[in-house]
Amino acid sequence: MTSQLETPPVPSSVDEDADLSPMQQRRLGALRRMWAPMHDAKGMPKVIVWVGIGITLAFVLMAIFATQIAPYAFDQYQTADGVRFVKQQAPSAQHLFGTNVMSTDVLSRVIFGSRTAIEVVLLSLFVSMAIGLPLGLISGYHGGKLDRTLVLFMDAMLAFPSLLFAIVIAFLLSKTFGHGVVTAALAISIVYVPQYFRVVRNHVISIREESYVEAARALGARPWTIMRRYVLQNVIQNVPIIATLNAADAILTLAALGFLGYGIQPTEAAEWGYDIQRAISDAGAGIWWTGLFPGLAIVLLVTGLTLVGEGLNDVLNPVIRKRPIQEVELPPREGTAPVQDEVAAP
Amino acid sequence: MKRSGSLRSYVITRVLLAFPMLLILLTVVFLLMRVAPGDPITAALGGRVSAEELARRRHDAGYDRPLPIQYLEYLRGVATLNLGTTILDNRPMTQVIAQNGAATLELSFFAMIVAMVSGVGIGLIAGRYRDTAADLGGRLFGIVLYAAPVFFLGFLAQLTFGKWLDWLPTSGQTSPIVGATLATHTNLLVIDTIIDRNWTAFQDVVRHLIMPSVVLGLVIGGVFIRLVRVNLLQTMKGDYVEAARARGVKEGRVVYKHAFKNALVPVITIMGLEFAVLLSGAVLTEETFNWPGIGSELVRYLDNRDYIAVQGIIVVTGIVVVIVSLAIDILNAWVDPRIRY
Amino acid sequence: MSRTFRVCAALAVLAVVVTSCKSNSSSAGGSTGPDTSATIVHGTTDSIVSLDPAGQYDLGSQQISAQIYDNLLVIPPGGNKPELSAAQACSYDNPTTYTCTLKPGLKFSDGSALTSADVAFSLKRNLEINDPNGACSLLNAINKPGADGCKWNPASISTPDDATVTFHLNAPDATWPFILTTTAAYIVPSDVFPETKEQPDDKVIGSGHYILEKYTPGQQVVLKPNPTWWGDPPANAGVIVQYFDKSSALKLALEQGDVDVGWRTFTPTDVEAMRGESSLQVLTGPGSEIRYLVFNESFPQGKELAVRKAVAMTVDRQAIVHDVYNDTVAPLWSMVPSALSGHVDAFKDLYGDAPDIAAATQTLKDAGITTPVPLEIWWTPTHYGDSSADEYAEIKRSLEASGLFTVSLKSTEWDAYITAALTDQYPQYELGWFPDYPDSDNYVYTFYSKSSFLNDHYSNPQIEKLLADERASTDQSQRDKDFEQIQKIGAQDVPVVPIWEGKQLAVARQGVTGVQQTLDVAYIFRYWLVGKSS
Repeated sequence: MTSQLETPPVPSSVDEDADLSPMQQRRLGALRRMWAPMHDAKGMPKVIVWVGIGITLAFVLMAIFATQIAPYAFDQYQTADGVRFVKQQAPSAQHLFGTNVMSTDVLSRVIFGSRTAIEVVLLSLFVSMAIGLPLGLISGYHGGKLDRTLVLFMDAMLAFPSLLFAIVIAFLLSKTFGHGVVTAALAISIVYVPQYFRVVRNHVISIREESYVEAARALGARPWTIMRRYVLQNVIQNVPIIATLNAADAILTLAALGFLGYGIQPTEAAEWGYDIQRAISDAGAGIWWTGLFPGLAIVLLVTGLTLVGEGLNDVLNPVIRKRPIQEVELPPREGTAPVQDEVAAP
Repeated sequence: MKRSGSLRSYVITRVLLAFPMLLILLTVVFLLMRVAPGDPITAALGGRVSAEELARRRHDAGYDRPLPIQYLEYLRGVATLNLGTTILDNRPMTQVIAQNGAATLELSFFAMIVAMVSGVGIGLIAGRYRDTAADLGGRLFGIVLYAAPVFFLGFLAQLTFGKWLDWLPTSGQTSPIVGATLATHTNLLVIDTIIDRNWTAFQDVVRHLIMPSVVLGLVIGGVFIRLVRVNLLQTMKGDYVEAARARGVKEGRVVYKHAFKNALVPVITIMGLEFAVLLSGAVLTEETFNWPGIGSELVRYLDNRDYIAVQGIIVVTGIVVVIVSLAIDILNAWVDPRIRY
Repeated sequence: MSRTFRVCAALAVLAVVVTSCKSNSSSAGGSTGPDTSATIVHGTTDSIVSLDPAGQYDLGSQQISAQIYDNLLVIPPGGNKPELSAAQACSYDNPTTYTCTLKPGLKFSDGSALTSADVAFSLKRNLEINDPNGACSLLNAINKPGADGCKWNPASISTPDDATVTFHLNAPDATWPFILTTTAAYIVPSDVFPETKEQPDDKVIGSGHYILEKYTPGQQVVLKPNPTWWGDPPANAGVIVQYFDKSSALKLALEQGDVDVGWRTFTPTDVEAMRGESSLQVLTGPGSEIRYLVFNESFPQGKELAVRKAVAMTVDRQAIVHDVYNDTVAPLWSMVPSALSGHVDAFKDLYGDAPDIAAATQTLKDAGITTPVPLEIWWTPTHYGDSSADEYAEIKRSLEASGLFTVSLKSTEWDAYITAALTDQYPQYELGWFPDYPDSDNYVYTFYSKSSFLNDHYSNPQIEKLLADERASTDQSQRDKDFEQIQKIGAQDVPVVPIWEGKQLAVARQGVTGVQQTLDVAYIFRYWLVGKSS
């Protein structure tokens, strides 16, 4: 392959990498190009992304270090000496967020809830991508009957309200796998498979007809090589945005399942949606702390993830992003030093 | 893909495609419900009668016949639009759809109005004043509304307006006494009370409608804010907008007269896309507010393993979703000739 | 702009609608007695399966049907034995023949006469329709002998004249009068109800206290007094029964005055909060619902009598009743609830009323069992209410606190749970029971007979003999003696451990009368006793 097909002319500032091999230079260049929009973005979009990343990171840290941070275990209903917690006690020194109807500490359940949420979301993202991406690649590249059938199937699933689907699947899976993280994650991942499928397939189809792909095929490249070289790279740029937005949605679906009672049981793990379901009865008695804090946790984490996704979209989407003014270094005329001039980029 | 460019062939293709989609949906639901262990009889009477008695009743009801036979019977029923009678409480499915479906329709309709007013309004403002405090505030509001689960907002609303302030009722479509004296014609209570000129009932119905539809509407509207804003930004980059600016038209007028209208065209598509989300949200809202809609019935029947009811509800929901998305797609194709097969 | 004006106007109208006062049910009259022109609103979380007696076996349907239909015999308010209702006399001619004579002049609500033919017809159609949701299995005593399932036996009921009904039972059965008080024996008109299929729910006719005026499935039932009722008119002008999905919604409706009385089913949290409300009164009466722990004796732990005894001595009923259920239930010391005839506190007599860790330790030591004993206990999350989770967490806590056991809790959804529990898959599991009729046989037979559906592999020939004895006897005091013996043996053998018995609990607004009278073991909320004083 000639470099014209793969990489546009490299700015002169990258000559410092001359000591790297050509392959390594190409990879580094690719990474830099992917990172460039983030680097260029100024002002609001940048702030949005970083605030979102900050919030998400805070929850991830909370999830990882839950056992260290949380004052009690998520199903603990007594002190170490065996003194029972008071049921539905208002926020106090020993229980910063109060206790709920099961006599467990709300703050601990919120912290461990983040662990449950992150676990479920990561697992479901992994499973949906593991199924959706390859299916989309194959379906888009080969086309034909397989493609049409898969598209029909995926469209049927996409059109249908995802929550109703997730409910029925969670109900079914709970018979075999119980009411834990695995059931919830699988139920949610099945719902998101069509999205990854569709994105990848559309991308593959639009690239499939490009002349450089045709050229590659004519030169005898195997389908897998073509998909890997051209398609995968482009797709991978899009996936982070979709993945973060899907992750946000997955957390809401998990909470919805927990709220309806098809999600994770309180003895298996702490889950925010389930806690809110028990809290609805508390609202009638004026007990506000059992529902407020899990709810705020959901809002914050989903907001964080959405800000990351939105921000990335702002930054990467060529239609609405604001390009900064780029400095252009004109090549020197014979015998003179290079002249720097500002030219507004289109 | 053929590019015939004719609207008629597009419509025909889409309608024909709807049938296999529905079939796939029905089959998936049937399999899910039957493959799971358990049945309506055990759910209702398990623990009160012996295992042999349960088996006998199951046999009498025909639940132990081979799956393919049950599947064919199910398909035949759907094809003749005979969705059967629920097992749990002997209600004809048509009655369930008519009564509870109407309740969900009423809730969804008013929620959509709230969503449009709040979502589109804030989205337009955010796009118009891009990168200012209004924009940031609007977008943040939209994101937070989307991030807040509808049952959490419902919880807060019930706590504030129901318990602490005691302004509004927090459950049901009507208060019991009004419900007893109401005459139903269309099952859409707002319309029924107007037809009868029953103003106390009308007031009662509206008061019960406020919290659930506002809560659901705000959550849906949150998504609208972002989408409308992005659309407006894309529209404002258009050539005709540049041209208007170049002609010296004031910025405000540019936005109002030229950009807004065109930015709203995809709102139809957005509404179509949001319809499925609306139904999901309706299930949660109905559970939170004790609203007797099709979503809460689905949960109730699912808990009792009532095959017939669950299948019937999902079939009808699927049909409605397919029809709505079909209508939206046809509308779009009519407006935009590029989207034809 | 005209558009903004219109929007503002709409908002103003909305504001007016919202802030105008709520509608309240009015009560008229200035007397101190119940206001018989008042309508009672009853809120409940139950649901109706069918209003036709042939198609129901659940509490929600039974509750409404008991208002619409009449039986030959009923359980009176506060009582626990059958008394005459549609019949003016009922007795055993001999151990297998039971004859009832109807009161003269009985009419259905459509004006037609109620005769013995209607009585026979009602029982016959229950057996013939054989609805999977129905209660025809209660009519075993007149079922065709040798038939597999419900089958009508024409020789089982004879009607010599319009006012006399004679039942020919297959075997001596002391519970037959109780069975006549159940849903399987509601009297329906033979000229209106079809014989081989069910009557539409909105067209049911009976001879009871009320007429069904309006039925909105899943939402509301409206009842009006029946002018042809043979007894005293009700203490109100009618009833609206409102169905709620969640008890918290019912509670709010009670507090806001939309509902006058709530019965079934409040969570312990709701009850605790409502006890503090001055506008509400929380009333309780003896109940007949129980919860217990079953040992499957085909498993190694369940097989050991010492283990079962030790659990019975260690489980802390007071903690469960007080901490988990906020005293809306009571500790249960026998597999027969305390309000039933023949009850004795067998477990309290044998093991004491508080956990006795020393005795439990000794019992296990004497049997040579190493502690801590590993126990796997199963429970189910939703069928018995959300408090099941808390209850079993509490059981685990009290068992482990003794140092004698290590408990692992497991749960599944109801339908898988009940199938697995009854087919030898769970070693120890939670179950509940509420009776078809308030006779002790309905309990002791279920839990101690070797052919009990529990399938826990327990049997005791002494108990079998006592059961046969009490079933054949028509002398209640003799039966009570048999019941006491059975309970004592049950406490010694401990195949099942009773934990708590429910109290009948209703919450009514101040000024609502007659509720306390109807809270008893019959499990029927008798609307005709409920009134509003002003």
